[in-house]
Amino acid sequence: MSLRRQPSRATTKPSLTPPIFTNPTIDLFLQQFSQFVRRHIIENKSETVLVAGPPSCGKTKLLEHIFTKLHIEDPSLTERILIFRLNGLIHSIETSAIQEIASQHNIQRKTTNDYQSDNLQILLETIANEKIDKRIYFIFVLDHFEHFTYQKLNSILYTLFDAVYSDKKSYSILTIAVSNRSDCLELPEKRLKSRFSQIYYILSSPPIEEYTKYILQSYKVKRDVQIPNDFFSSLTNVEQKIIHYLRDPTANMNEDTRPDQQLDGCLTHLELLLLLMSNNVIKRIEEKLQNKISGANESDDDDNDDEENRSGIMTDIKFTFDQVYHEYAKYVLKNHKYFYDKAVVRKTFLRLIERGFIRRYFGRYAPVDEPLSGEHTMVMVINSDELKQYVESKPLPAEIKRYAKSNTII
Amino acid sequence: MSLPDSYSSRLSIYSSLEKLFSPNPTIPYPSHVYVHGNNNTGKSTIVKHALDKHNHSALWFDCREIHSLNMFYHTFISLLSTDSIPSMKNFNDFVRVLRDLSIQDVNNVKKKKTKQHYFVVLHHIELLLNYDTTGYLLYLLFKLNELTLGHFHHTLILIGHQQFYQLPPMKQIEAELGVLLPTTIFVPAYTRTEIVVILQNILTQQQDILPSSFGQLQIIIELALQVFYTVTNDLVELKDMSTMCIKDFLRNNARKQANDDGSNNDYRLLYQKEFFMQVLNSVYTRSMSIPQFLDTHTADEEKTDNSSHIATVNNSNGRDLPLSAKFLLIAIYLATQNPIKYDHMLYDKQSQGKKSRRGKIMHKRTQLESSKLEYLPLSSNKPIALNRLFAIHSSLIGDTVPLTTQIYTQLALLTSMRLIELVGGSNETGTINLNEPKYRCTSSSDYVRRLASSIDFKIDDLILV
Repeated sequence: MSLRRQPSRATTKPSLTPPIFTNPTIDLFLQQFSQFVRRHIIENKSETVLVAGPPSCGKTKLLEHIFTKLHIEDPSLTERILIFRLNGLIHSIETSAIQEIASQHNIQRKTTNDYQSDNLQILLETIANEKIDKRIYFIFVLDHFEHFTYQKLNSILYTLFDAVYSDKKSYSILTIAVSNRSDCLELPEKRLKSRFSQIYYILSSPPIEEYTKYILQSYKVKRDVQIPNDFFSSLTNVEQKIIHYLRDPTANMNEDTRPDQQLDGCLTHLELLLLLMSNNVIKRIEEKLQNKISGANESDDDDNDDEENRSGIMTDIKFTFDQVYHEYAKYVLKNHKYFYDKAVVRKTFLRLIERGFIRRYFGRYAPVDEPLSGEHTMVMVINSDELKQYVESKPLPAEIKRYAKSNTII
Repeated sequence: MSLPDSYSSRLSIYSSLEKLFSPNPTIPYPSHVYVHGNNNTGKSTIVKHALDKHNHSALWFDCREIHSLNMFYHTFISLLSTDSIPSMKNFNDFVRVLRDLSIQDVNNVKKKKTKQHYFVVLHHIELLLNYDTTGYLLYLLFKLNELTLGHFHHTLILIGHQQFYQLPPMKQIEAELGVLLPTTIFVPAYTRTEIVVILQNILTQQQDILPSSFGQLQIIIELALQVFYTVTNDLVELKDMSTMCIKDFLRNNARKQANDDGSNNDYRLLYQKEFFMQVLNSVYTRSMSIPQFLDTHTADEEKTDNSSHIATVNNSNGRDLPLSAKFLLIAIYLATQNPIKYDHMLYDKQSQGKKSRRGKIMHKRTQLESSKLEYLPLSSNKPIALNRLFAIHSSLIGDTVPLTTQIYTQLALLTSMRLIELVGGSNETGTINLNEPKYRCTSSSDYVRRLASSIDFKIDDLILV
């Protein structure tokens, strides 16, 4: 039995890496990818790898965790590893990428060197030659990788991928492509594709309930919060919803991802009338088209058409302001109500377009800046079902409700 | 700084925002907040007050004052630093400069435990997004913390008037980059009751109104809203229009104070309703400025002489036009309203079958209503050929009046008065196709109807739909 004092568990250093959400799948990825990165360093091997997954499933965060852990576990590597994060949306052109790499290098090395280089390879060699005695490991994280591939003859990718085949003694490059698209390996040109290794990791979002519990734990909240399970929910959005609820418990958590048009608290009576009239005009145009296609006789598809109409599917039938104004003029002549000048009606109609209930349709050659004329075509954005529910549920003037019931298909 | 009294109806929304922005040791601030609602509903005011309450560092951008993305980048950096700003040509440069500034900021702060957290407010975000040619600006703004490598801590607050998913780049962002969901706060439009209270407070403070007139002020506001609120619920527009009505009321009050025994009040209120409609048709549509309107209009039953030299479309006095010119205008209006194939039935007096002309028109009208056809893409802007116009004019005015050059003169007169418009001229060379000159009616239907009624012409009898 050794008499040497054994360090007690209480004196072991606590982990300095910031905590992240983990489950068996994520743990496996962390383990495998960390080994992959270490192998790149130990074997001095340039490599390419793809990390793909749905948006906001934690790809970048997991990679950051791996890099931080690497630095903490082996501080001697800190001087020799340089991690550059590029984003395909803004760094796909070489000059932008070089500026960004130079800036990130200065941040990591706490220097203020001004690298006047317009070639990535030369820049990397310049940086590597600053420490001649030590081999440098470059790790490039290319976020939104597909946007790099959209550039023809992308010199950044050629430089990074060529490193796999070249025998550079002073440095090696690990290129980590990060993308929302799992098919992004098909996107590069043939020559680039052949240089890319077929190593890839596909991540998926963890279950929302588990992630919710983790977030609440990290904020030291003992309450239980139920986040509605939304097919499109990303982890960022889940976290933001939790933060919103924790800060304001009166907030409505069951709001749909795509809330209905905020008709209530938005529209005036004239605007609502114009929307109903636009709906009516669209229905008439559709009927006319149907009659032309299928003839005046009833067809077997009538029942299906009714179902479609009842489901309130948005249509892309185009109409003009003049058609709506014509409908308005008929209404006014008949009911002697809501009688306003055409300019007033036009301005009200423009307000509906401004607020997104109606969208102008721009043909290929139509100038976008042209002010609205009676002949410009438009498309309804609002669902006729939503309009129906609103008209039926809200206390509105009787003439509007009567018009809605009598004329529209709703 | 508490919310002003005029925003008392916004207390619940203010409270929600105030909770979102209140400091908390364990719960971080929300990353992105989107406040939306109609124009002039108090969105920016309550955001400002909510931020000021906690003395937050707010970087406020009114996108109406930003005319390019470069200007936005420079303004952003200039709010953070007083040093000379390096040139920034694109978003990439902006991110680098911002990151460097943030690192500098952290290094300069003595106590590094508290990190500076900024609240970046982009008011009228739709306008800024219009300058974005790539469609990725919104997404990149959401990712600003990541792009600055975690050095720039901020909450992004966007203020707009559309639904978030209706913002221009959203479809592209969702298709390519994923779903963005900020914390959304909806600010509804003011209800009518709220507007009455707000307008009363504002107008009492702004206008020199005696306490004895407060009751009448409320009546006028209620009357005005009866007309205006159906059309618009925008507080600023309602305030401007109500202010005009109050000014007119005060002006008449001052004028008739000596002889006013109170019996004229009801009549004045009656005439004011018509005055309100004129306000709506002129000032609301921006066809006339407020001072100009007040000069030329009054709600008083004794109308002042219309000695204004300004001849606008809707205000030109019908009694000044010659009779045949009025018929010309009515003829062009009828030509735009009725399709050409019914001209023979409507205007040809010689072809009288068993049915009278009026009977035929009524029958056709019923037919069209029952079939519910989409009659036309009717357009009051549809150009009418000169021949057709003269034919209809001749039919209306009678065969006894010959077609002379006087008619052409009157046509030119109507064109110069901008009641009708010659179509087909090339703006550059000024050449007009004389083979087929076409005219377009630019007068409103209300004006033409008034004109017709002034000469006892039953225009409705000749309109099919």
